[in-house]
Amino acid sequence: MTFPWLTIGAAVLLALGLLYLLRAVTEQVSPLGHLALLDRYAAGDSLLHRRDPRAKCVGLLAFVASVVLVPTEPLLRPALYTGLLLSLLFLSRVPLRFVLRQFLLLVPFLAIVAVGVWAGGRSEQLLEVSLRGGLSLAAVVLLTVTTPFPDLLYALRSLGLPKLLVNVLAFMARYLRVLLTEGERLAQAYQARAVGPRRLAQAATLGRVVGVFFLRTYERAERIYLAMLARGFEGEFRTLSPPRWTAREVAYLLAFLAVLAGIAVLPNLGLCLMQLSSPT
Amino acid sequence: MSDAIVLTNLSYTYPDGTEALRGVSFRVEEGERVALVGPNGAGKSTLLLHLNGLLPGGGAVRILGRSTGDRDRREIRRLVGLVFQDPDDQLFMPTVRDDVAFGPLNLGWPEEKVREQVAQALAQVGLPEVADRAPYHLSFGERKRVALATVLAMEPKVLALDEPTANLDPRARRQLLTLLATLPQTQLLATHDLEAARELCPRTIVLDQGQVIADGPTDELLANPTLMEAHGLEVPLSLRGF
Repeated sequence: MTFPWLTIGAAVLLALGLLYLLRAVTEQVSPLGHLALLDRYAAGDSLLHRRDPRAKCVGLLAFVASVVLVPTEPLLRPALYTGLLLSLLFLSRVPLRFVLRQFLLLVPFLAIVAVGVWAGGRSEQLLEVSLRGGLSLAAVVLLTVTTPFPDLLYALRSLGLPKLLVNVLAFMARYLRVLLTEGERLAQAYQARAVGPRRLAQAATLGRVVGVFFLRTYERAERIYLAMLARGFEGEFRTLSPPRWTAREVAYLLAFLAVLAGIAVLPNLGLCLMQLSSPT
Repeated sequence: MSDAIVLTNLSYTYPDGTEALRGVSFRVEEGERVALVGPNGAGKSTLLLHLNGLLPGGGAVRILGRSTGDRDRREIRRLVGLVFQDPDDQLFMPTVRDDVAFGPLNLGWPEEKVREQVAQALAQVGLPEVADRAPYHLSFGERKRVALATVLAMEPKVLALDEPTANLDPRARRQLLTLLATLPQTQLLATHDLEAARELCPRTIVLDQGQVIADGPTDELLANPTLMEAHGLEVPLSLRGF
């Protein structure tokens, strides 16, 4: 029997990429402001930031898998998962508000799933699905705000995600900003000369603007390819090999997995721990 | 001194019919720094793309005695470091380190050597601390220097630079000029920055409509108002004898 690890993994990883895109697009406060905002806290220095990105990705996969596979009853369990995420967030010293805003961006997707479940006549599972989805997304958000994107790509590649997929994500992340800036310039040039509301004519012009945007993107792609060839590219992407796993990273990961296992099999013990760790 | 670059009757027509190069011939000796000037569309960038065989024009290009038509493309691409005008075209990897390592890895060098080359090239351009940063977090001037580092890491013998000083603020421009002046490689600089040409290059080639119009000592050519104005240029202020 094949276990749906790969499917789960691929879905999570794709969600990572989409999340980055979405964040880039929605956080665009000013032409240049968004550049600074994107991975504002990713380069921090905390217990969580310092972990090997591969360990973090494995941890995320394990977290999502246990949230999805272990029954949500008793409700103490989801509470413990939330507590786990919150304590990790506390360790990372990333402001809760920042993380919540990232999370809220994803809520509409969760809502779509929830509506689907409800419309499918399985409303008794609504709570379960929302909890599982919400916790998984929150964990993904936590990973993305505490890990620089290059490190994530590195981790994904060394964990066996296909090269092609990683390269596509890498190019997307790299050129998103360039293209956004190019698009902004086009939009500004358009607005500088477009006066008055003549909607039909404007639609036609806008169409042309979009066309020009695609042409410029295409030309840039060509120049990038030439620059790659100039440096001896022969069709095979070679990258420096990732550093070895250290015993410390393995230890942290095992500790995290142990906590997950604890939450899965011993909700009562989890309860005790929680009572112990919260001073009266 | 032997020849670093020998162009013989080089010509190239773009697929749309534009004749970009029409019988360009010149030679550049090893260690020379030569400015390539001329109006927009003169064929400067097209010429640079021929130096490592990226464009297959008519005529012959020889780099340090090797033909760019050779089977051994890898060696030509190592020998000629091409620096593009827009560093965003050149820097496409997630981190600066990966980007600088890209060329050396393509050459099949062992990883240890690649890491050394990366550190050395970044130190050479004065940015040893940016290795782990993402290119988009660097300033334009820094990206320009990193772009140069990406080719320096391949130990080229010839540097072909397309508008190295374009869009730089004066300080970044100064840093880049100082850097170029210290590099031992043979350099061919396509530029509109005639002051930079004066400063760096004892020799200048004027290119217009795909042809070599003049080739000689920089100060002599740039001080000639008739020549300059006929080809979309002007005598630089520093040569106007105030």
